[in-house]
Amino acid sequence: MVAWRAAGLNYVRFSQIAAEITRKCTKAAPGKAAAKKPEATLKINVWENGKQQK
Amino acid sequence: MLARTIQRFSAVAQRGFAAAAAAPAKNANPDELRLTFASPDTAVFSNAVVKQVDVPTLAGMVGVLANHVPTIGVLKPGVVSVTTTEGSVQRLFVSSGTLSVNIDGSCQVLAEEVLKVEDIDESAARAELESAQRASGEGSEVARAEAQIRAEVAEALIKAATNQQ
Repeated sequence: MVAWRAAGLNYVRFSQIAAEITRKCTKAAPGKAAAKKPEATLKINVWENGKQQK
Repeated sequence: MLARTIQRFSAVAQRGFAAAAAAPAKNANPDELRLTFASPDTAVFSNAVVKQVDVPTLAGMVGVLANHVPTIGVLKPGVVSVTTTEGSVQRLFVSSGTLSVNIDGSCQVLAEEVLKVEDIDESAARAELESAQRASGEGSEVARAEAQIRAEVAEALIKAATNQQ
């Protein structure tokens, strides 16, 4: 078994760390690239008793 | 009667959750390899016909040609080499992600971070490796494991930048 899996980490965490290090070691503006993360938009609608809340 | 029942059951058993998604694309030639290679913010190849793809996975290096057996795998930090139909080779570093090879000849390499090998900052990777190695000997088990992951990624970056891989 891989060491990180034995320590209770899963692949999602592995991937997170790997991506972070890769962003850090990019030539184009290393400092900025590490901070930059792919943008994501999340919209949440709350529903109660079958009706959408505003 | 019995034969018909078995036939009906087997038809049900063949239907999986991903049946719709895995339905072969129309007009697709199953004898060619169509690659989709992307990260969340960039698509390097989008269903493009290529000759060969070499992918580093946790189970080892996987070379994919046309008519490959359906496979899934998780990526390891390393270099993905894509040989185009003209024979030129493109090398890109991937941090992690997934690989899937389907029966219709399509292949998906979905990575969390994709980087051209030329764009790797080797000195930054060496610094990262050093700090990770220092950190891998101390702290909790989880902290040590995370430092080991950082060291592994940094090593892969250095290898890729110096063409050892």
